[in-house]
Amino acid sequence: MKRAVEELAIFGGTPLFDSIKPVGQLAVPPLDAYLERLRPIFHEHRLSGNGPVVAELERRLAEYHGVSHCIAVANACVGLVMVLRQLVGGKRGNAIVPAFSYSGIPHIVQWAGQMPKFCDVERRRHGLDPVAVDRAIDEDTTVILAVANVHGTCEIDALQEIASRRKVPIVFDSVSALGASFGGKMLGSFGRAEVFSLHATKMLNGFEGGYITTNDDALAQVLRDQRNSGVVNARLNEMHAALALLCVDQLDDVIGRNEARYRAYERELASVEGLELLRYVDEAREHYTYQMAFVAVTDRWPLTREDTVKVLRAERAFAMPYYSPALHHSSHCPIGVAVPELPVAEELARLFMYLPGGEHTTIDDVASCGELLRFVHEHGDEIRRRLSENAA
Amino acid sequence: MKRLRLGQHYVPSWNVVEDGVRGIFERAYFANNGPLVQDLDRVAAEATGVPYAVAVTNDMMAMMLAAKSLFRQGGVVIAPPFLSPQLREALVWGGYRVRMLDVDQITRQLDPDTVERSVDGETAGIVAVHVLGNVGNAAELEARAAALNVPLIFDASDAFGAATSGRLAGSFGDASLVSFGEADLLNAGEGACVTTRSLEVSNRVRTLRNFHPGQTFAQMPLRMNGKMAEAPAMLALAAFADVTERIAMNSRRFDTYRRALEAVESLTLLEPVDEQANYQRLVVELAPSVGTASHVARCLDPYGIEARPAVAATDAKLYPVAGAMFERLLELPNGADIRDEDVFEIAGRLKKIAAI
Ligand SMILES: Cc1ncc(COP(=O)(O)O)c(C=O)c1O
Repeated sequence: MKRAVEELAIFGGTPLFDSIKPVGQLAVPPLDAYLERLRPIFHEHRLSGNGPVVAELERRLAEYHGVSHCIAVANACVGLVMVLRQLVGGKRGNAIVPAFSYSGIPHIVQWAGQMPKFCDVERRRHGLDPVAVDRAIDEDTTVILAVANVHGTCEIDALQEIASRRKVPIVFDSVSALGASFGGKMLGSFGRAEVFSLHATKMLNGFEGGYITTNDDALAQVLRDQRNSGVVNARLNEMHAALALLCVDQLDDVIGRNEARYRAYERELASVEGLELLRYVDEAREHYTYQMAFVAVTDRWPLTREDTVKVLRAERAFAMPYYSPALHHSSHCPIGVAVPELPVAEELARLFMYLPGGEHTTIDDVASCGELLRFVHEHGDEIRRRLSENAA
Repeated sequence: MKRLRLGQHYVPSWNVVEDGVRGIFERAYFANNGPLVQDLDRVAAEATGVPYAVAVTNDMMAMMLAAKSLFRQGGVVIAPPFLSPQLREALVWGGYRVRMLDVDQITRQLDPDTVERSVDGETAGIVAVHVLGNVGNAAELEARAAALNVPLIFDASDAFGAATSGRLAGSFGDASLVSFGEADLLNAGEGACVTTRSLEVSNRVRTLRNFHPGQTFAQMPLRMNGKMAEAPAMLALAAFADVTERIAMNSRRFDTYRRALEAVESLTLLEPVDEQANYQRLVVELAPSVGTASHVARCLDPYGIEARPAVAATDAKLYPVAGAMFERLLELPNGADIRDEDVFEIAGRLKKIAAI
């Protein structure tokens, strides 16, 4: 452990961790089980084309989410574009999206022929603010793309009510909320459709991949036809599907380990002044995967968030700012889109950072992070001074 | 009954797969421009004789990103009528309007003169296809497009390994796309790459395929998750390692078809036109008396033989040459699992249908 400020890796000391502690989930099933799954795929030379493994994965996921249809696709971005293109029906207009969100969001809606209309978010779940959405909808609005967040999804009921009252289709990007519930009901069957990812850093590791869930029979049919008949190429291959399928089997264990890490962060950070762990919303009633630990870097903390991230990264704790900057202030905002003031999104985008998580981070690692952060707090003034000297 | 499938369906030996997967698990590196994808970018470039290749999700993604890297926003893209539907849709997703131009009767490729007459202020680019695996007159079209200052992309998916005048498919135009689908010679399950001689174009595609600030090499306003993962990259690398052997197997099978279809006047096996070919597409031209390719495909189906028109459907009234190709050209199974006796079985069924 660090005894003096010069022992911090950023000032030339030995990094706290031997290997990088990432933020992604990176769950893996046993290698032998995976190879066993691959054998028939290679024996039959059937690597893609919506094969039997994809079909099995779709059945399992539909069951898991309690939804009638699951359509596996190449990745979540492709799935979102397919769904959006279908729902806007050839119209060009604006898609309502949250300003505090994933950097791909403004791109995804443009591939669906829409311009993003950035809306502010609410402070609890950090999703689209229903009041702002109601105000933002105009005659050119073609669709609402709501994003469900890891720590609290979003105000699904209120958003669905507005969507149906204003007759605008609503789609949920539920990539971060796989395994979460809203009102006690698992995500997967809200809105016209939901889209999930099978990216390695997410809950179900399928290398890359994604899937669409919906209870809308007609929509499911159209999307499946498009994928199967070659009108689009959005196929998930069997190797990816096989890995994801084995991850479904172990999902509860992974969630258990995530929760243990999260509780460890709770304990560690309780005694760290100035960093506030972001709480999962309404834990008693809802399901969560506890995949991420975010902290708010408050003004009682001695360093800026950016400097804190630098200090942690030097120690190989792969911290990073969360959804920062806000999308309407980022390079992801398309030219020509009006940039409104969205105070909550802007404030949140300055506030949070991710701490290491996922399968490569042990409970001991979390304790080490806690200790490191306490050390940083204790020596905050000196670290700040040295950082500014180094910068100059 | 075993079904005789269309498509190439080559896979590496099981040892290669097992070692490859073991390596991925040991590195715990699954996605996001991993070490195998980086290798693949190098190997794919070398194998097509260009300095740069960028691996992506699949052929549709390759088209989306190649178009965005070269074609002006919102313009018209000229393409042959048989451009495959998912590539056409890729252009639509990119916000382009697609203008089909019929192809030349002899070369079956876009005719440079017709293209020149059709280019106007709205033209954003040209997508040409090395149709049925033939490079053909690509150099001529390339020169014309360059003279007109219109960017040109080739779909080289059927033609990897084909070459004419010492130039390989994948090296023509401003960029090419090579598909690594399971029906293709280079089978990665799913996947593709964009090949190009231009550093600038490669930087744009590399930027376009992700959203990450650390993977930004050019100013690109519109981006996408178009990344290839490590598993397909592993398979694509194995495919490149095996490609000479695969082409040799294709060539032997092609030979068997030649013998099996000899002296049937109403069925003409289409020979490659280039000096070097990959024998990936096995296509028979049907005399009008035999019926259309769709009809013959339906007749073969009950016997467990998959067949289909060799090019995508086109409106024959608007595009007589491409329309005739759709009607007359039949693609037959030519994959890793097709044995000599299967070829004779297919040829036998076909002769019976032709005789009715
Ligand atoms: C909220 C959200 N939506 C969509 C995506 C895109 O998912 P994919 O990588 O499967 O395309 C991500 C990926 O990080 C995400 O976090």
